[in-house]
Amino acid sequence: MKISVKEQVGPNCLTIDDGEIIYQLLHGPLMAGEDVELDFGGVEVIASPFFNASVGQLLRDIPEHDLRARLHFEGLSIAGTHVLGRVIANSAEYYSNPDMRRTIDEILDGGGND
Amino acid sequence: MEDHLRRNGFLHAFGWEKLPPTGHAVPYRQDKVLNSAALTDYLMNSWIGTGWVDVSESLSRAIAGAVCEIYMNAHEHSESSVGVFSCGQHYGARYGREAILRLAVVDLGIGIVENVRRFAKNPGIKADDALRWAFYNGSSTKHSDTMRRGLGLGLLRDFVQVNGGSLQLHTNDGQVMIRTGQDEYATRTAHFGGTVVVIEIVCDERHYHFKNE
Repeated sequence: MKISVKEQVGPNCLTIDDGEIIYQLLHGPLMAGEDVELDFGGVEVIASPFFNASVGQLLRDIPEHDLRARLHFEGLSIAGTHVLGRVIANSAEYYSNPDMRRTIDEILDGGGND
Repeated sequence: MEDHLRRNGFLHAFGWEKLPPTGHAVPYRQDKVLNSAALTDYLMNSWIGTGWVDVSESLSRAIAGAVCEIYMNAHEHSESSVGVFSCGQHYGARYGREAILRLAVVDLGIGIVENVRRFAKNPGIKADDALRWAFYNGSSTKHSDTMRRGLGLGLLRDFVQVNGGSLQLHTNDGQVMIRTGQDEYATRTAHFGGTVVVIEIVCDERHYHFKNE
């Protein structure tokens, strides 16, 4: 299965709402064990909220190893790959480590107790 | 003659090309609501995509994406009743200093420090600690049970540091200065009712590339 991001969202993929469109298309096939190719041809500007919603959110239901094996990216620039890598790393940590939220909050607690 | 007619917008009014930048100024704009298409057009055609910055197209788009997130954050978090203002300037190389391109993005909303204090339900948090938290990957005052958020400031810091440029942020009684290999967070006595983000990038391509570009 191949999905053209530009056809579904347009040349600018910025918001969570943009990402939700792709997430809805990806979730079912990936959960069914299908391979999916996301084609970024013609996409010009990408921001991390788009990847948080479209790809990062998948890690709630699909282990990172399985996601990397089944979801393939075509036409993504080096800079876009950098953003995607950061999103996957953060989301994987978030869904796999229930103490992550606490770790972040400790930064705030530390500041408040100074 | 044609150059003059393009620069003063005369030809644009008659359907010629895009409106060129006015000299070295990045035009002032106000966004009361987020318009993704207009914003990306502004950043790509009036700021980083004008030819002032000698970087790859891929990277200029990535920078535009990270800056878009600054605007999105301002619209979503700031509660600014007047929206978001921005403008910028290109400074040519002179007196031994390299050419740089600046963009300032301003809102007159609640401020990042105050937002973090409200989120943590702790008004005693020091401004510099609140800002360290805001720059920490994955930190967001908008909680979601379904997805991780809060990468925007960290990604913009990545791009600026690779470039050798700088990122300044002034909000409430807090201030951040990001330069290559150096993050400075400070609590100030002065107070600003909102948030000012100033992005400064070095225009020479030697300063701006990813390892495999």
